Amino acid sequence: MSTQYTDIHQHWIEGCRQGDRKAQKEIYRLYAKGMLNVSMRILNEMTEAEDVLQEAFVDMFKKIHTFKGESSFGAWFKRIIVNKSINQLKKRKTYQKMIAQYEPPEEVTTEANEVTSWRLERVQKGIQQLPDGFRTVLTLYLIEEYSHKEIAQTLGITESTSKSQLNRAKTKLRNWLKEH
Amino acid sequence: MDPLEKFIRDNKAAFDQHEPSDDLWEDIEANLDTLDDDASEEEIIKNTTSRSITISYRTLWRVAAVALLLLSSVAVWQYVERGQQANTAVTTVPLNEIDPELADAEAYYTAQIQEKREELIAIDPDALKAFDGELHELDELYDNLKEKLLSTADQEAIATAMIENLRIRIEILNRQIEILERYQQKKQENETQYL
Repeated sequence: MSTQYTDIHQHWIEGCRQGDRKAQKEIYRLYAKGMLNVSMRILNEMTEAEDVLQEAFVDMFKKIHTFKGESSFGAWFKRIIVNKSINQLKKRKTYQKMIAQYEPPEEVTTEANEVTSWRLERVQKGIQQLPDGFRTVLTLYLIEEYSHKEIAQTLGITESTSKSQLNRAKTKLRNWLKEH
Repeated sequence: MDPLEKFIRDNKAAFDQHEPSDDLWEDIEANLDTLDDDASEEEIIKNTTSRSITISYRTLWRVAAVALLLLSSVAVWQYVERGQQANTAVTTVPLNEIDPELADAEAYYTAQIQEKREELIAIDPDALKAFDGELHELDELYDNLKEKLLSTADQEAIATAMIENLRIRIEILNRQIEILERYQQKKQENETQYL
Protein backbone atom coordinates (compact mmCIF):
# COMPACT_ATOMS: atom_id res chain seq x y z
CA MET A 1 0.00 0.00 0.00
CA SER A 2 1.36 3.35 -0.89
CA THR A 3 0.87 6.43 1.17
CA GLN A 4 -0.87 9.25 -0.61
CA TYR A 5 0.20 12.65 0.48
CA THR A 6 -2.29 15.43 0.56
CA ASP A 7 -0.28 18.55 0.15
CA ILE A 8 -1.06 21.76 1.94
CA HIS A 9 -0.69 23.44 -1.42
CA GLN A 10 -2.91 20.91 -3.18
CA HIS A 11 -5.14 23.64 -4.52
CA TRP A 12 -2.27 25.38 -6.29
CA ILE A 13 -0.80 22.10 -7.52
CA GLU A 14 -4.15 21.28 -9.14
CA GLY A 15 -4.13 24.71 -10.74
CA CYS A 16 -0.67 24.05 -12.16
CA ARG A 17 -1.96 20.82 -13.69
CA GLN A 18 -4.49 22.93 -15.58
CA GLY A 19 -1.68 25.25 -16.65
CA ASP A 20 -3.14 28.10 -14.63
CA ARG A 21 -0.60 30.92 -14.59
CA LYS A 22 -1.74 32.28 -11.23
CA ALA A 23 -1.26 28.90 -9.59
CA GLN A 24 2.17 28.55 -11.19
CA LYS A 25 3.18 31.91 -9.83
CA GLU A 26 1.98 30.96 -6.38
CA ILE A 27 3.96 27.71 -6.43
CA TYR A 28 6.97 29.73 -7.56
CA ARG A 29 6.50 32.14 -4.69
CA LEU A 30 6.28 29.27 -2.21
CA TYR A 31 9.19 27.18 -3.44
CA ALA A 32 11.66 29.43 -5.29
CA LYS A 33 13.77 30.39 -2.30
CA GLY A 34 13.97 26.93 -0.77
CA MET A 35 14.83 25.29 -4.07
CA LEU A 36 17.39 27.94 -5.00
CA ASN A 37 19.19 27.18 -1.75
CA VAL A 38 19.11 23.43 -2.39
CA SER A 39 20.80 24.12 -5.73
CA MET A 40 23.21 26.66 -4.20
CA ARG A 41 24.39 24.15 -1.60
CA ILE A 42 25.35 21.82 -4.42
CA LEU A 43 26.64 24.29 -7.01
CA ASN A 44 27.90 27.10 -4.77
CA GLU A 45 27.57 29.51 -7.67
CA MET A 46 24.65 31.89 -7.99
CA THR A 47 24.36 32.20 -11.79
CA GLU A 48 24.43 28.45 -12.29
CA ALA A 49 22.01 27.84 -9.43
CA GLU A 50 19.54 30.37 -10.86
CA ASP A 51 19.80 28.80 -14.30
CA VAL A 52 19.09 25.40 -12.80
CA LEU A 53 16.20 26.85 -10.83
CA GLN A 54 14.65 28.43 -13.90
CA GLU A 55 15.02 25.30 -15.98
CA ALA A 56 13.67 23.14 -13.16
CA PHE A 57 10.56 25.26 -12.72
CA VAL A 58 9.77 25.16 -16.44
CA ASP A 59 10.35 21.40 -16.60
CA MET A 60 8.40 20.82 -13.42
CA PHE A 61 5.35 22.72 -14.71
CA LYS A 62 5.62 20.76 -17.94
CA LYS A 63 5.82 17.42 -16.17
CA ILE A 64 3.53 18.10 -13.25
CA HIS A 65 1.03 15.57 -14.60
CA THR A 66 3.60 12.88 -13.75
CA PHE A 67 3.46 13.87 -10.08
CA LYS A 68 1.17 11.26 -8.61
CA GLY A 69 1.48 12.12 -4.95
CA GLU A 70 3.61 9.15 -3.88
CA SER A 71 5.69 11.67 -1.97
CA SER A 72 5.08 15.24 -0.95
CA PHE A 73 5.20 17.76 -3.75
CA GLY A 74 8.19 19.42 -2.10
CA ALA A 75 10.19 16.18 -2.01
CA TRP A 76 9.29 15.43 -5.61
CA PHE A 77 10.32 18.87 -6.81
CA LYS A 78 13.46 18.80 -4.70
CA ARG A 79 14.46 15.58 -6.46
CA ILE A 80 14.27 17.41 -9.80
CA ILE A 81 16.37 20.28 -8.47
CA VAL A 82 18.95 17.96 -6.93
CA ASN A 83 19.29 15.88 -10.10
CA LYS A 84 19.62 18.95 -12.31
CA SER A 85 22.14 20.53 -9.99
CA ILE A 86 24.20 17.35 -9.86
CA ASN A 87 24.15 17.10 -13.66
CA GLN A 88 25.36 20.67 -13.82
CA LEU A 89 28.04 19.91 -11.25
CA LYS A 90 29.21 16.90 -13.22
CA LYS A 91 30.05 19.19 -16.10
CA ARG A 92 32.78 20.73 -13.99
CA LYS A 93 36.20 19.27 -14.57
CA THR A 94 37.01 19.26 -10.90
CA TYR A 95 34.05 17.05 -10.07
CA GLN A 96 35.43 13.83 -11.50
CA LYS A 97 38.35 13.67 -9.15
CA MET A 98 36.28 14.73 -6.16
CA ILE A 99 34.13 11.65 -6.04
CA ALA A 100 37.00 9.24 -6.05
CA GLN A 101 36.67 5.50 -5.80
CA TYR A 102 36.12 4.05 -2.41
CA GLU A 103 38.93 4.42 0.02
CA PRO A 104 38.78 3.35 3.64
CA PRO A 105 37.48 6.27 5.70
CA GLU A 106 40.05 8.31 7.50
CA GLU A 107 40.20 7.95 11.22
CA VAL A 108 37.82 10.54 12.53
CA THR A 109 38.93 11.91 15.80
CA THR A 110 35.97 13.45 17.49
CA GLU A 111 37.52 15.29 20.33
CA ALA A 112 35.47 14.84 23.46
CA ASN A 113 35.68 18.47 24.33
CA GLU A 114 35.04 19.71 20.84
CA VAL A 115 34.27 23.37 20.97
CA THR A 116 30.57 23.60 20.29
CA SER A 117 30.39 27.34 20.14
CA TRP A 118 30.48 27.48 16.35
CA ARG A 119 29.09 30.58 14.88
CA LEU A 120 26.61 30.11 12.12
CA GLU A 121 28.21 32.31 9.48
CA ARG A 122 31.53 30.60 10.02
CA VAL A 123 29.99 27.17 9.51
CA GLN A 124 28.18 28.48 6.42
CA LYS A 125 31.46 29.83 5.08
CA GLY A 126 33.27 26.64 5.99
CA ILE A 127 30.76 24.56 4.04
CA GLN A 128 31.02 26.88 1.05
CA GLN A 129 34.79 26.49 0.85
CA LEU A 130 34.58 22.67 0.77
CA PRO A 131 35.44 21.06 -2.57
CA ASP A 132 32.38 20.28 -4.74
CA GLY A 133 32.16 16.56 -3.98
CA PHE A 134 32.54 16.94 -0.23
CA ARG A 135 30.11 19.84 -0.03
CA THR A 136 27.49 17.98 -2.03
CA VAL A 137 27.60 14.84 0.09
CA LEU A 138 27.68 16.78 3.34
CA THR A 139 24.75 19.04 2.54
CA LEU A 140 22.65 16.29 0.95
CA TYR A 141 23.11 14.27 4.13
CA LEU A 142 22.88 16.90 6.83
CA ILE A 143 20.56 19.53 5.35
CA GLU A 144 18.51 17.71 2.71
CA GLU A 145 18.51 14.68 5.05
CA TYR A 146 19.04 12.17 2.28
CA SER A 147 20.16 8.73 3.43
CA HIS A 148 23.53 7.38 2.31
CA LYS A 149 21.60 5.03 0.08
CA GLU A 150 19.80 7.92 -1.63
CA ILE A 151 23.02 9.89 -1.98
CA ALA A 152 24.75 6.88 -3.49
CA GLN A 153 21.93 6.46 -6.01
CA THR A 154 21.85 10.15 -6.83
CA LEU A 155 25.58 10.51 -7.40
CA GLY A 156 26.19 7.09 -8.87
CA ILE A 157 28.63 6.10 -6.15
CA THR A 158 28.58 3.34 -3.55
CA GLU A 159 27.17 3.78 -0.09
CA SER A 160 30.60 3.30 1.44
CA THR A 161 31.98 6.06 -0.75
CA SER A 162 29.15 8.30 0.39
CA LYS A 163 29.96 7.53 4.03
CA SER A 164 33.68 8.06 3.63
CA GLN A 165 33.11 11.30 1.71
CA LEU A 166 30.90 12.54 4.52
CA ASN A 167 33.58 11.73 7.09
CA ARG A 168 36.27 13.43 5.10
CA ALA A 169 34.05 16.44 4.49
CA LYS A 170 33.42 16.74 8.21
CA THR A 171 37.12 16.41 9.01
CA LYS A 172 37.93 19.08 6.45
CA LEU A 173 35.23 21.34 7.80
CA ARG A 174 36.41 20.84 11.38
CA ASN A 175 39.96 21.70 10.47
CA TRP A 176 38.83 24.79 8.64
CA LEU A 177 36.75 25.88 11.62
CA LYS A 178 39.75 25.42 13.90
CA GLU A 179 41.91 27.62 11.71
CA HIS A 180 39.37 30.37 11.17
CA MET B 1 25.39 12.10 16.16
CA ASP B 2 28.50 14.19 16.61
CA PRO B 3 28.20 17.81 17.75
CA LEU B 4 29.04 19.26 14.34
CA GLU B 5 26.31 17.23 12.63
CA LYS B 6 23.86 18.21 15.31
CA PHE B 7 24.78 21.85 15.03
CA ILE B 8 24.19 21.90 11.28
CA ARG B 9 20.93 19.96 11.48
CA ASP B 10 19.60 22.14 14.29
CA ASN B 11 20.31 25.23 12.24
CA LYS B 12 19.12 23.89 8.92
CA ALA B 13 16.88 26.85 8.20
CA ALA B 14 19.84 29.21 8.45
CA PHE B 15 21.40 27.55 5.42
CA ASP B 16 18.68 28.99 3.20
CA GLN B 17 20.50 32.29 3.08
CA HIS B 18 20.15 33.09 -0.64
CA GLU B 19 17.31 34.91 -2.35
CA PRO B 20 16.38 34.42 -6.01
CA SER B 21 16.69 37.51 -8.24
CA ASP B 22 13.56 39.57 -8.69
CA ASP B 23 13.26 38.99 -12.43
CA LEU B 24 13.59 35.21 -12.32
CA TRP B 25 9.85 34.63 -12.41
CA GLU B 26 9.52 36.81 -15.53
CA ASP B 27 12.08 34.60 -17.27
CA ILE B 28 10.20 31.46 -16.28
CA GLU B 29 6.92 32.98 -17.38
CA ALA B 30 8.37 33.95 -20.76
CA ASN B 31 9.59 30.39 -21.14
CA LEU B 32 6.19 28.99 -20.27
CA ASP B 33 4.54 31.35 -22.76
CA THR B 34 6.61 30.02 -25.66
CA LEU B 35 5.75 26.50 -24.55
CA ASP B 36 2.04 27.33 -24.58
CA ASP B 37 2.37 28.77 -28.07
CA ASP B 38 4.09 25.64 -29.31
CA ALA B 39 1.41 23.49 -27.74
CA SER B 40 -1.47 25.34 -29.37
CA GLU B 41 0.29 25.23 -32.74
CA GLU B 42 0.66 21.49 -32.37
CA GLU B 43 -3.01 21.32 -31.51
CA ILE B 44 -3.95 23.14 -34.72
CA ILE B 45 -1.80 20.85 -36.84
CA LYS B 46 -3.34 17.84 -35.15
CA ASN B 47 -6.86 19.08 -35.68
CA THR B 48 -6.36 19.82 -39.34
CA THR B 49 -4.86 16.47 -40.19
CA SER B 50 -7.77 14.16 -40.79
CA ARG B 51 -5.82 10.94 -40.84
CA SER B 52 -4.44 11.42 -37.35
CA ILE B 53 -4.83 8.18 -35.40
CA THR B 54 -5.39 8.06 -31.68
CA ILE B 55 -4.14 4.99 -29.91
CA SER B 56 -4.36 4.82 -26.14
CA TYR B 57 -1.12 4.12 -24.34
CA ARG B 58 -2.67 1.02 -22.77
CA THR B 59 -3.37 -0.45 -26.19
CA LEU B 60 0.04 0.58 -27.37
CA TRP B 61 1.73 -1.16 -24.50
CA ARG B 62 -0.27 -4.29 -25.13
CA VAL B 63 0.53 -4.26 -28.81
CA ALA B 64 4.14 -3.52 -27.98
CA ALA B 65 4.28 -6.52 -25.66
CA VAL B 66 3.01 -8.85 -28.37
CA ALA B 67 5.24 -7.26 -30.96
CA LEU B 68 8.17 -7.57 -28.61
CA LEU B 69 8.43 -11.33 -29.01
CA LEU B 70 8.25 -11.13 -32.75
CA LEU B 71 10.52 -8.14 -32.96
CA SER B 72 13.20 -9.55 -30.72
CA SER B 73 13.56 -12.66 -32.82
CA VAL B 74 13.73 -10.56 -35.95
CA ALA B 75 16.03 -8.22 -34.10
CA VAL B 76 18.54 -10.91 -33.25
CA TRP B 77 18.57 -12.13 -36.80
CA GLN B 78 18.93 -8.70 -38.31
CA TYR B 79 21.44 -7.60 -35.75
CA VAL B 80 23.72 -10.45 -36.69
CA GLU B 81 23.01 -9.75 -40.34
CA ARG B 82 23.71 -6.06 -40.29
CA GLY B 83 26.40 -5.85 -37.68
CA GLN B 84 26.81 -2.59 -35.92
CA GLN B 85 25.66 0.00 -38.37
CA ALA B 86 26.05 3.71 -38.27
CA ASN B 87 24.54 5.21 -35.19
CA THR B 88 22.00 7.89 -35.93
CA ALA B 89 20.90 8.17 -32.34
CA VAL B 90 17.58 9.72 -31.43
CA THR B 91 19.39 12.23 -29.28
CA THR B 92 22.98 13.33 -29.27
CA VAL B 93 24.07 12.39 -25.75
CA PRO B 94 26.57 9.55 -26.03
CA LEU B 95 25.42 6.54 -24.09
CA ASN B 96 28.54 4.43 -24.52
CA GLU B 97 30.07 5.58 -21.30
CA ILE B 98 27.00 4.96 -19.20
CA ASP B 99 25.81 1.71 -20.67
CA PRO B 100 27.51 0.29 -23.78
CA GLU B 101 24.91 -2.45 -24.20
CA LEU B 102 22.12 0.09 -24.21
CA ALA B 103 24.05 2.19 -26.68
CA ASP B 104 24.15 -0.79 -29.04
CA ALA B 105 20.43 -1.33 -28.67
CA GLU B 106 19.75 2.35 -29.26
CA ALA B 107 21.80 2.30 -32.44
CA TYR B 108 19.96 -0.75 -33.69
CA TYR B 109 16.46 0.55 -33.02
CA THR B 110 17.25 4.00 -34.29
CA ALA B 111 18.31 2.49 -37.60
CA GLN B 112 15.08 0.52 -37.68
CA ILE B 113 13.02 3.61 -36.98
CA GLN B 114 14.80 5.54 -39.71
CA GLU B 115 14.10 2.73 -42.16
CA LYS B 116 10.41 2.66 -41.28
CA ARG B 117 10.13 6.41 -41.58
CA GLU B 118 11.59 6.30 -45.04
CA GLU B 119 9.29 3.48 -46.00
CA LEU B 120 6.33 5.50 -44.79
CA ILE B 121 7.37 8.68 -46.54
CA ALA B 122 7.73 6.67 -49.75
CA ILE B 123 4.05 5.72 -49.51
CA ASP B 124 2.82 9.14 -48.51
CA PRO B 125 5.13 12.13 -48.06
CA ASP B 126 2.73 13.70 -45.56
CA ALA B 127 2.17 10.54 -43.55
CA LEU B 128 4.52 11.41 -40.72
CA LYS B 129 2.75 14.67 -39.97
CA ALA B 130 -0.30 12.82 -38.73
CA PHE B 131 1.39 11.60 -35.57
CA ASP B 132 4.27 13.98 -35.18
CA GLY B 133 2.80 14.86 -31.79
CA GLU B 134 2.98 11.27 -30.56
CA LEU B 135 6.51 10.78 -31.78
CA HIS B 136 7.53 14.08 -30.31
CA GLU B 137 6.09 13.07 -26.98
CA LEU B 138 7.97 9.80 -27.13
CA ASP B 139 11.12 11.78 -27.92
CA GLU B 140 10.59 13.83 -24.83
CA LEU B 141 9.91 10.80 -22.69
CA TYR B 142 13.01 9.20 -24.08
CA ASP B 143 15.19 12.19 -23.32
CA ASN B 144 13.67 12.29 -19.91
CA LEU B 145 14.52 8.66 -19.25
CA LYS B 146 18.00 9.20 -20.57
CA GLU B 147 18.43 12.11 -18.24
CA LYS B 148 17.33 9.96 -15.35
CA LEU B 149 19.65 7.16 -16.33
CA LEU B 150 22.61 8.86 -14.69
CA SER B 151 21.12 9.42 -11.31
CA THR B 152 18.43 6.84 -10.99
CA ALA B 153 18.34 4.15 -8.36
CA ASP B 154 17.53 1.44 -10.87
CA GLN B 155 19.37 1.82 -14.16
CA GLU B 156 18.04 -1.44 -15.52
CA ALA B 157 14.42 -0.36 -15.18
CA ILE B 158 15.14 2.91 -16.97
CA ALA B 159 17.05 1.09 -19.71
CA THR B 160 14.11 -1.28 -20.23
CA ALA B 161 11.74 1.67 -20.47
CA MET B 162 14.02 3.33 -23.01
CA ILE B 163 14.07 0.25 -25.23
CA GLU B 164 10.31 -0.07 -24.86
CA ASN B 165 9.96 3.55 -25.94
CA LEU B 166 11.90 2.88 -29.13
CA ARG B 167 9.86 -0.23 -29.82
CA ILE B 168 6.62 1.69 -29.49
CA ARG B 169 7.79 4.05 -32.23
CA ILE B 170 8.47 1.14 -34.53
CA GLU B 171 5.02 -0.16 -33.68
CA ILE B 172 3.39 3.19 -34.49
CA LEU B 173 5.24 3.36 -37.79
CA ASN B 174 4.36 -0.23 -38.65
CA ARG B 175 0.72 0.36 -37.97
CA GLN B 176 0.68 3.49 -40.04
CA ILE B 177 2.35 1.68 -42.93
CA GLU B 178 -0.26 -1.05 -42.62
CA ILE B 179 -3.11 1.45 -42.58
CA LEU B 180 -1.81 3.30 -45.60
CA GLU B 181 -1.20 0.12 -47.54
CA ARG B 182 -4.72 -1.07 -46.84
CA TYR B 183 -6.08 2.33 -47.81
CA GLN B 184 -4.25 2.27 -51.13
CA GLN B 185 -5.34 -1.26 -51.80
CA LYS B 186 -8.97 -0.25 -51.21
CA LYS B 187 -8.53 2.71 -53.48
CA GLN B 188 -7.17 0.53 -56.23
CA GLU B 189 -9.99 -1.97 -55.81
CA ASN B 190 -12.53 0.81 -56.05
CA GLU B 191 -10.90 2.20 -59.12
CA THR B 192 -10.89 -1.14 -60.91
CA GLN B 193 -14.52 -1.60 -59.93
CA TYR B 194 -15.60 1.54 -61.69
CA LEU B 195 -13.51 1.02 -64.76
